[in-house]
Amino acid sequence: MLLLQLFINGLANGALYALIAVGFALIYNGTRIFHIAHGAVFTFGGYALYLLALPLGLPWIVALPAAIVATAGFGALMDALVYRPLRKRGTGPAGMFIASIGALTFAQATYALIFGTDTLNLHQGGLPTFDVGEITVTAVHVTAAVVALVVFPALQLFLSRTRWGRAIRALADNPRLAVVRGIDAERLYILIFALGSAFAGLAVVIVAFDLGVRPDLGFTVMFVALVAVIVGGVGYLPGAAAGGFLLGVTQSLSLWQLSGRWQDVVVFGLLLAFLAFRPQGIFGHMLVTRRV
Amino acid sequence: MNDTTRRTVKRLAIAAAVLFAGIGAANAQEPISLGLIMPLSGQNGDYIKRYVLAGHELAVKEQNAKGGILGRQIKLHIEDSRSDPATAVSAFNKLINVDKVKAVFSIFTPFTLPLLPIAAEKKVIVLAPSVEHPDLTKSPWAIRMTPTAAMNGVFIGDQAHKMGLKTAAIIEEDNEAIRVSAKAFAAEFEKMGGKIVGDETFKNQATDMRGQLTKLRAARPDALYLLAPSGRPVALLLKQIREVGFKPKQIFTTHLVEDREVIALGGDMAEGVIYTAVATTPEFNQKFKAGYGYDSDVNAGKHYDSTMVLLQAIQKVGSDKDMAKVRDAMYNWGAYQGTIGTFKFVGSGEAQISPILKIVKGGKYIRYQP
Repeated sequence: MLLLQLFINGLANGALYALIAVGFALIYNGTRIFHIAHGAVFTFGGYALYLLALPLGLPWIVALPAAIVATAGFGALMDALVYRPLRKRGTGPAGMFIASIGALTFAQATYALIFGTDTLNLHQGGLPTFDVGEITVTAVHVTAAVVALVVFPALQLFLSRTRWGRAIRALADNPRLAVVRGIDAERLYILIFALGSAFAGLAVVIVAFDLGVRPDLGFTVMFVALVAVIVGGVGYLPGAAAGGFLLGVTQSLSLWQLSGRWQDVVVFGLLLAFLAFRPQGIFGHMLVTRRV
Repeated sequence: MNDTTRRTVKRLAIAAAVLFAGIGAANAQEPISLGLIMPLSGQNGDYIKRYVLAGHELAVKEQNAKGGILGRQIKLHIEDSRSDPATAVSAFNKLINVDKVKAVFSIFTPFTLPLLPIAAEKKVIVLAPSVEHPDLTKSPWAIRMTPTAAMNGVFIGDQAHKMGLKTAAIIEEDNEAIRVSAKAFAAEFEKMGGKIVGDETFKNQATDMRGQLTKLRAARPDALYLLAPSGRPVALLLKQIREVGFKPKQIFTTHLVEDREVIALGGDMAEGVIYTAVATTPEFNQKFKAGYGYDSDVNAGKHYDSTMVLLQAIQKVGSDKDMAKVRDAMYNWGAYQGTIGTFKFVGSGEAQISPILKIVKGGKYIRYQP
């Protein structure tokens, strides 16, 4: 029973990791930018939700989608302000990466300046829970799982069936050829960043509602998401999702035998194991045929 | 020597005299420099600023308003350790070498123990009134003014036994001092015939402890002893105990259950929790509330007391030049009437004081009467 409960907890946490990892992977595959500042975009969503729901007093039904849209907008804005000027100057991947670290640090400091370093609570008291026999799940965990189940297939459909989706894949596959074929790369970048950031937005509204918002909220989560991307296979989107779930479940199941202080060790142990024995990740072989 | 030269020399001499007199005067009024290194950011930062730092600042402000000590004002140099032992050490070196402080206030075992070897070398007093790790007072330069971690654990172990609880589990942050409480509790409880059926840890800054709590729930303990270093994790634990459907007969913890973070996350979750505490006097609470607009807590009291003991010891010695003398004055103070009761200094940095048991009842924190 305990194992089943831990497995379910892990799936729910994994869904959150997967959402962030897929957002990051979408941006990385589409733009080749190692967007560490994705963590800052994630945190932004938490503060957006806080502002909309508490000081502005909007009902949750409005505040939640508005916060996700705001996160998407912030991601696109970050591309426009940080990466686009560098792109115009022909900055390479290393330069982009450093700019991204800068953006992350800057954003975190700015949040601390505006909102202070304290945790802001979005919700009082325990979360509503559902009991099935001995198994207990919180509403937040159920939401995370449902959201993941809905949006991942939707994203896959979008990328394979729509004109914009196919354009993103073309750009990911061969940017030069895509541009030659008349794809407006700059406009697509905006879309990619907005879409990837919307995934972070989906995850952060759930996390923030559960645990509150702090300036460094996105920092650790971002690392776990990165590990998920590598474990899943860099370049392959369903791999990032699978990596997220795998990490969540492994972390949770490890509690069965290990103490909680080892949770980070489990994450990075898994990373090391993959780097040593299967550096292409779970789905690395899929890359021959597709990138996004 | 012609006239011009003579005049020049004379002027220089006057200038020099004025200059030296100036330095002398400045010296007499040079403030007494004290340092403070604490995690002012991150998960525990809010708590530290509101109570611990507030306690020190209240004491300094009060003493300065009375004209300071030895006719000198007191200046508190504040550094953020960012919950990192290495940062704490470099802040400590900076305070000693640049700001020339003679004593430093600290909190939390992991950011305090690394300061002690440097303190001994530089002859600087480290006052960590609320650090509960036994090793702290092995240093001849450290001072603690609280019931020790072990004492708290033993108190709770006794209490659990008295209430007829047969099994117990512990959820604790992975932190040295907390481990001492947990071990003392386990030893006492098992000595009385109880059984520890689960012991789970979580990391500093962790926010989701539901996995660990789920595991403890499966062990079905009568009692749960909850140990964390600040109000935020205590609040999260109480919230998540509910969320995983964990219903031990009795939850025990420390005075941190009174923290406003617990109230902010939904104060009724703490209902019925029994905890160890030391109580501040109503006079201190009034003074604190007048200064800050909210109620004090025991750490505010302890840290206020530690500032006052230090200042009074400097007063007694008559100088802050030789800190060994100041330290000895404190170590041999005898009974010191503080804001949380009477501390007994008996020749070491261990100021003894006993905890009391309190309970959360109807949202109020009252003395526990079995």
